[in-house]
Formats: sequence, structure tokens, C-alpha cells
Amino acid sequence: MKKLLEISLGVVTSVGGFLETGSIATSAQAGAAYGFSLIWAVILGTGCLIFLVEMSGRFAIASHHTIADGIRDRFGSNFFILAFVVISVVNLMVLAAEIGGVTLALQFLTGWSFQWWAVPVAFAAWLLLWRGTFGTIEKGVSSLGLIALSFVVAMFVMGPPWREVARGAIPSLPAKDGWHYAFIAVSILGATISNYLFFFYSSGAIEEKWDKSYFGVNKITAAFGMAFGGALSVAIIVLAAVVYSSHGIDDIEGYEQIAMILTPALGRWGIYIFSFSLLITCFGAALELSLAQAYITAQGFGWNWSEDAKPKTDPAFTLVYTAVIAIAVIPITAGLDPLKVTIFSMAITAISLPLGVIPFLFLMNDKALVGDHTNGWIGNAVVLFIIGLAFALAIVTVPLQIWGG
Amino acid sequence: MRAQTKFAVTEKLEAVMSWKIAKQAACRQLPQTSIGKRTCLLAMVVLLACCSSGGDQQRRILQEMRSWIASAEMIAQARMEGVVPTMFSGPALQRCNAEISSLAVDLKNAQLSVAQRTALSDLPGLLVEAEEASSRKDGPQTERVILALRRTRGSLDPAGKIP
Repeated sequence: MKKLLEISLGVVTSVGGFLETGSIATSAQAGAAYGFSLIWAVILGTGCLIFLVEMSGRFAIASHHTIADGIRDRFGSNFFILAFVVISVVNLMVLAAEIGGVTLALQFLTGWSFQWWAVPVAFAAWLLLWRGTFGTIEKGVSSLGLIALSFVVAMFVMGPPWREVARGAIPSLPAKDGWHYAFIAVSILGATISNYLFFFYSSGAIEEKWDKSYFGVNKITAAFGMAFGGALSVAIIVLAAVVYSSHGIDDIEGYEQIAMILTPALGRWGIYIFSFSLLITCFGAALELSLAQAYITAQGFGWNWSEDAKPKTDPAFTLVYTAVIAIAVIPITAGLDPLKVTIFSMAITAISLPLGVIPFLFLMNDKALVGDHTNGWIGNAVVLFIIGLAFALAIVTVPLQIWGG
Repeated sequence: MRAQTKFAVTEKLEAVMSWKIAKQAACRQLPQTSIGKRTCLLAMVVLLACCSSGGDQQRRILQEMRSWIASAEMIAQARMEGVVPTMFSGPALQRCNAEISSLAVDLKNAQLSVAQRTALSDLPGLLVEAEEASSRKDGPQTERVILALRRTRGSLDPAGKIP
């Protein structure tokens, strides 16, 4: 019974924590510009994410180490430093985008410009990290993210042409703007498969003291949590395709446009539910990103780390999340458009993917680390496929950013 | 005879010399010509690229502008119906207006049809009217402005369709 409860909670928090500014923005852009035809990108990204998240959890349970520990021990400090620098830069940009998402939600709810909200939001995030525990952040904030299920409700209310929606699950060539189509596909994949998730998930498994009895919980949480989370992104694509095409909006360049996505289905509640969804999902993601950065840094450099511990017992860990929040808030305070920061950071995430994904092939086949819980041939085939995909994305992202961004 | 032969030889020598000089000159010029050709080719490619990207950029700007106009219509309609709060719709309509104005500046030197130029000049007034009419909850006036905005959006579409 206790395990069942944990599985349910795990799935709920994964669903609630899946959506963030990147997936909302890229899905809305995809739906507005190309209808249902980019649903396949979300399905592909979610499929890859399920495997990688499951491996992160399995690695932590079997080896009692996090992914960051594993990378440093298995590949040495030079590779770790390279991965650390690249992933940190990407994390900072994504964190700025998430803070931007929260501030925009507050702008929609209060009418005050997002810039004014940047510092209070950053302070609230920092305070919650300072005072809260891992459970508060993971289960509390992510569970509130379930409000995002309203996108699925709205999708059913709008009643899209389901046959065409299903056809979107199969990759197809676009009728217009091939470069832009490819750029959005890459951004969706970047928004879905983010390196920080693996570090956060494996650290969470250690924080929550997952033992060998949690292999099943890990599998179910990864599979169902991420799959249901992916369904939220699909719902946004479907909604955007239905709502925006009927109004002649085929190019999303501002969150003011995205904010109207629920209004046709949910009426006067639409804007409030959208704003709360954006606020909570982005706030949750901002907390996870700050923690993930603190985890990677502390684990890589061998410092004390635990969100459950008091700040005075792990001051360096605390300093890292304080510093990243302080840095990430700068572009939003300066007035940089949060949507532009989001789209750019999603594309940059795609560039950094190989550094986070390649280690899985070695870590998950190292008997000294994971014992009998190494990858089977399916797991390895999937990791090889994801590595290939990650390299392809890393290579095409910059040209696509220039011609299709 | 000898003089003739000498003359012929001299002529041949001169011919050979002039050929050699020409060849040397040609050899000296060859790299320059090649560089010139390459420069010309590169310039043409850049020019072509600029031309195509210029046209492409204009098409993108127009597409973006139409999307912002459509967004303004959607927000104004929702504001008039009282579906969205003023604290959202006010700044949102202002953002639409600002984005459209900024895109219109980008189109200042673009090659546009008379209808498109007229549409661009009508836009600022229509947007202000949409904001005012929807804030007054003046249904008929808002509907009229939204229709006018739709027509303007249609004029800005090279395909001439109003979705």
C-alpha cells in the first residue's frame, strides 16, 4: 500500500513537473505554425526521456551514486569539467527562462510589468530552497503543477479532429518553411530532453533514500509520469492548432498570444488557469533547476549536499543555488523578452545534449557500478539512438537558429 | 633577301616576344582575374542570398505582423465580451500595438503594393480604436474595428486570404 502511494505520488509529481516554460512555448509555436504535424517531436522526446530518466533512477538505486558522481568517477575530472561548464551555462539560461515564465504569469494576473516581478520571484524561489526540504519542493510544488491538466480538459472541450491529431504522431514534411519547422522540432526536443532532469532525478533518488525495492517504483514513475507529462505538451499543440488557426495566428512571438490559448474552451476562467499553470509549472522548474545546478556542482567537487540538510551544514551547496538564482534573474530584470530567452535556451539545450547523454552508455554498462542492473540490448539500442539524435541536434541547432529561428 | 629574312625573323621574334609578354602578362593577370572572378561570384552569391533572404525576411515580417494583428483582434473581442480581465487585455493590446509598430518600421524600405502601404498606414488608428472600443465594451464599434482589422490583415497577405 505504501509503495502504491509512492508510485501514485511519483507519477503525479512527474506529470506536474513535466510542463515548464519551454514545453509550453515550443508546443504553442508548433501548433500555431504547423497544426498537429509536430506531435511526433513530443512523442519522440518523451520516449527518449522515459528511458533516460528510468536509467538515472536505476543507476542511483544500484550504485548509490548520482549521475554527476558517476560521470566524474568514470570519465575523470577533465570530461566532468567540460560537461559541467556547458551544462551550467545551459541551466542558467533555462533558469532565466523559467523565472521569466513566472514573472509573465504574474504580469497577466496583476497588470504589472514582468520586470518588476523578477526580483521578488527570485527571492521567493531562494527562500523556499533555503527553508524547504526536498519533499516540499518535489511533491508540494510539482503536485500543484497538476493544474496544467486543464490543458487536456480544454483539448477535449474544443473537440479537435482526432484523425488528424493521430496523423501528427507520424513525422511528415512541412508544407511551408522547412527551416522553421526543423527549428521548432529541435526546440521541442530540447525542451523535452533536458540534461538537468537526469541530475535532478538521480539526486532525488539518493535524497529520498531509494533502496533496491524501488526499482519497480522507478520504472513506473519514469514511464507513466513522463508519458502523462508528454500528453500535456501534446494537448497544448492540439489546442494551439485548433484555437490559433481559426483566428489566423500562425506565428507566436509573445506570451500574450499564448495566454489566450485556454480562453475559447474555458471562457473567463481561461486566462486565470493559464496564468496559474504558467506560474506554478515555471516556479517548480526554477526550483528544480537551481537544485540540479547545486547538486551537479557539489557532487562534482565533492562538497556536502542535501536539500534536506540545514544550509549551515552544506554552505557551498547553498551558495551555488543562491548564486545561480542571482545570476539568472539579471536578464529578466533587464527586460529581455522571456519568450525569446525561452526559445533560445531550448535550442541551446539541444546543443548540450550529447554531453549529458553519452555517459549513460558507459555508466549503465559498468558492472562495477550498477552490478546486475546493467542495460539490456533494448536499453543500449535506445541510448545509442538517443546519442545519435543528440549529435544530430547539436550539429543542426546553430544553422537552424540562424535560418529557421 | 637577307634583309627580308632578318625582317621576317625580327617579326617572328617580335611576335614571339609579344606573345611571351602577353603570356607573362596573362600569367600575372591570371590570379588577379581568378580573384576577380571569385570576388564577382561571391558578390553575386551574397547578392542573390541577400535578395532571397531580403524577400524571405519581408515575407516573415508580414507573417509576424498578420499574427500580431490577429492576436489584437482576438484579445479585443475577448475584452469586449468580458472574457479576459482588463489588467491582462490592456497591456496585451499595447504589446500588440508596439510589436506591429516596430514591424512597420522594419517594412519602411520594403517593396510593398499600394494596398499594403495603405493597410500599414491604417493600422495604428485601427489598433487604438480597437483598444478604446473594447475597453468601453462597445460591441458594435468593436465588431466594426475588428472587421476592419481583418480586412487590413487580408491586404497584408500576399495570397490575399483572410483566415
